[in-house]
Amino acid sequence: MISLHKVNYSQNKNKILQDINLNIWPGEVTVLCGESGSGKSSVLNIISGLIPNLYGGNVTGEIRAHHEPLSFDDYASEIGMVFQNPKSQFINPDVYSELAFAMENVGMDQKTMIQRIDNVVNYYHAQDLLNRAMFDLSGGQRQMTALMSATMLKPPLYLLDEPSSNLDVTAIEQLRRQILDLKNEGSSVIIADHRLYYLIDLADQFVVIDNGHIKCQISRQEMRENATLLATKYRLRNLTAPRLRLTKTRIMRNLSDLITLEAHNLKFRYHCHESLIDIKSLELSNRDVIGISGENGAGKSTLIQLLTGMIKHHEGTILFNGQQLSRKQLVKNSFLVMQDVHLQLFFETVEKEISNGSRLTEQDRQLLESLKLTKLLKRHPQTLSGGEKQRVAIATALLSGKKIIVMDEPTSGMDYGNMQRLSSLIAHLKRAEILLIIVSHDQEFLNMTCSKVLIMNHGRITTVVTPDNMNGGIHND
Amino acid sequence: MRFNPLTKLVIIVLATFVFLANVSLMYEIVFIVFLGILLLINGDPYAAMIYWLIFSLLLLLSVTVFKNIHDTWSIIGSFLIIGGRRILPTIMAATFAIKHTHVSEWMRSLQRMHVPFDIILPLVVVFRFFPTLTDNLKNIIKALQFRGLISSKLALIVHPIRAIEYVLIPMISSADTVASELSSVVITRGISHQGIHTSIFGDHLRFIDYIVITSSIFFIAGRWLID
Ligand SMILES: Nc1ncnc2c1ncn2[C@@H]1O[C@H](COP(=O)(O)OP(=O)(O)OP(=O)(O)O)[C@@H](O)[C@H]1O
Ligand SMILES: [Mg+2]
Repeated sequence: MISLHKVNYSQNKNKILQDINLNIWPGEVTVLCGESGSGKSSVLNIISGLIPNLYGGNVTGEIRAHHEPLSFDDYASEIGMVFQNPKSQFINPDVYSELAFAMENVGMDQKTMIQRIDNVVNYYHAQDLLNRAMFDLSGGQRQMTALMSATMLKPPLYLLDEPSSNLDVTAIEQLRRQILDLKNEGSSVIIADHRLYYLIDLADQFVVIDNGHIKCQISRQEMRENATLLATKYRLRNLTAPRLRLTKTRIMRNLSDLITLEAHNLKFRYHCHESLIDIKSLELSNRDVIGISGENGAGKSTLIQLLTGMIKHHEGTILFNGQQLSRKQLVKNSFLVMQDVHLQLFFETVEKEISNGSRLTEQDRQLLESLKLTKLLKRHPQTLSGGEKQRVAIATALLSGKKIIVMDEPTSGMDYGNMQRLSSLIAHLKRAEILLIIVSHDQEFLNMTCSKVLIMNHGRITTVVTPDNMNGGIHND
Repeated sequence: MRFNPLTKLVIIVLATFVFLANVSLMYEIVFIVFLGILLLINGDPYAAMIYWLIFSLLLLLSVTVFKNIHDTWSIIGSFLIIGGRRILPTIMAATFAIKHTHVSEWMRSLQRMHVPFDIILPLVVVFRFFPTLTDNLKNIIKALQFRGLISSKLALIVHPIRAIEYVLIPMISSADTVASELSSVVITRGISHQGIHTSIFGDHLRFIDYIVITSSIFFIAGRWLID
C-alpha cells in the first residue's frame, strides 16, 4: 500500500500542492482528474520520487510505501511510468531496443528478454512497429511504445500521465484492456487524464484535484450513480464514449470570399516504405471548418504536411483556389500550428512576435483583443502557458495574411475549459477569410468545432462525416 | 553484421595511432581501404563509398594540382589537402563506432571496463540529447519557413548570423525541458541499477571481432616492420 499523509510541495515559494492525503491499495486503479495546471503531474512525480530528487523543490509530509522508501537504483522494477510528452520518452533509436532497455538495466538474460518482448508485442499487435526507428513513429505510435516499455518488468505500481492524449479509439481500448489486466494481476495503477470514459468501469476511486488541493474523492459506486451531476460539478470531460455528432453547420460565403483547396491523385511515401498517402480526390473549402481524424499512423500528420507544402508529394496535384501552386507558394499561403508551439515562437515579446516588427493597425488590435492577447503583448512568448502560446501562433498566422491554417492535435492534454475556449475561438475565426483544418482524435472537440470531418485509414480518406450524415458512408474508392 | 563495442574502441585507438604516427602513402591507402571494408560490413556501404571517393579526390589533387608548391594559394591548398588526408581515418573510425551500436551495448562494455557509473549516466543522456535537438531543429526550420522568416533551408547557410538568432531562442527554451524529460526517462527505465547490465544483442566477441582486433595489431606492428 502507498499512502500520502499531509503532503505539501512548494517550489520557489510557490505552493504547488497542499495537504494531499491519499491511500492506494494493490489491485486498485486511481484516477486523478482536474484542470490543466491543477497539480496532477506533481502528485504522480511525488509518488515516483522524481520530485524532489530530480526536479527539486520542497516536500513535507509523510509518503509511505509498504516497502522501503524508493531508491532510484531499483526504480524500473518498482514503478512503470509513462510521461505526458510522447516525444521525448525514449532513449533508444528503435522500438526493439527501447522495449529491451529496462530489462537490460536489471541484467536480465537474453533469452528471457526476447521472450518477453515477443509476448508484449503480441499482446499489443505491434509487430509492424518492432523494427521501426523511434523518430519516424507517429505521435500515437510513440505513446503506445512508451506504454509497452513501462510494462516490461511487470512492476507493482504504474503511474500514467495522460496516456491517452494521442491515442485513437482502438488504441484507447487496448490501453483499457492493459489497465484491467494489470489490476487483475494485483498492480496498483494511478492515472492522470482528461478523458475519463475508458476509466469509468475500471477505476476504484476518482480524485479531483483543484489548484493543488484534493477537492473531493469519488468512489466507483458514486461515480456510476451520479456521473452527469458530478461531471458538471467538477467540470470533468468525456464521461461517456464520444461519437461523432457534428453540431456546427456550414458557413455561407460569397464567391469572392471562397477559399478552396483540392488534391487529386495525391501519392506519397516515406523512403523505403510502401505507399502511405493515396488520395484520389479531395476538395476542401472554407464553407466548412474541416476536421481530420482516424487511427494512429493513418497518415493525418503526413497529409497536412503535404497540403501545406512542408513535404513534397511524389505524384498528383494540389490546387489552391483552382490554381496549381508550387511547394513554396503553398508554404507561403499556409500556416501549421504545431503541437510543440514553443518551437514556433522566435521573438522576445508577444507584440514583436505578432507584428514581425511592423506597426499594428487598429484592425490588428481588434483581432488581438478578440484573441484575448492584448494584455499579454509585453510578455515574453516563451513564458506563456500552452494555450496562450497557441493563440499567439494563431495571431501571427492571421496577421501575416495566411489563407490556410492547420492545427495538429491542438487539444491533446487540454482540460474541458481550455478546449471550450479554443472551440469558441475557432467559431469566431471562421468569420475571417481563412480555411481551417484541424487534425484531432478528440471527438468531443470535433463535434463542437467542425462541420465536416474526414476519417483517414491507411493513407486514404474512407469516410466523410457531416452534420446530416452522422455515420458517414461516402467512400472515395 | 554486428561488431562488438570493444572492437570499435580498438579501431578508434588504432585510428588515433595512425593519426599521430607518420605513415607511408602505401600504408595510408591500405588503412583507408581497411576502414572502408569495416564500414561496409557494419552496414553503411553509402558512407564507405563516400569516404573512399573523398580520399581518392584528395590523393589525386595532391599528386597533380598541388604537386609543386610555389604561391600562397597552393600553400593553403596543399595544407588543407594534407590536413584532410590526415583526419579522414579518424572520421571514418568515428562513423564506424557510432553507427549500429546500441546504448545498452556501450553501457555494458563501459561497465566491464570499470568506467564509473557517474560517467556513463550523463554520457547516455548527452548522446540521446543530440537527436532530439536535431528533431527540434527540423521543426523550428519548418516554422521559420511558414513564418516567412526564411525562404528555404539554404537561407540558413547564406545568412548564418540571422539564422542563429532565430533558431537560438526556441532551441534554448526547449533544451532545458528536453534535458529534464530525458533524465526522468533514463531514471525510470532503471539505468542506475547497481548490478550488471545486459544487452539484448548479446556481448560476446565473435569471429569477425577477433579478425578485426588481430588485424589492428598487425597494423600497429606493420608501422615499424614494413614502413
Ligand atoms: N519521417 C518518417 N519516416 C518514416 N516513416 C514515417 C515518418 N513519419 C511518419 N512515418 C510513418 O507514416 C505513418 C503515418 O504517420 P503520421 O504521423 O502521418 O500518422 P498520424 O495519422 O498523424 O498518426 P497519429 O494519430 O498517431 O498522430 C506512420 O506509420 C508513421 O510511422
Ligand atoms: Mg499525427
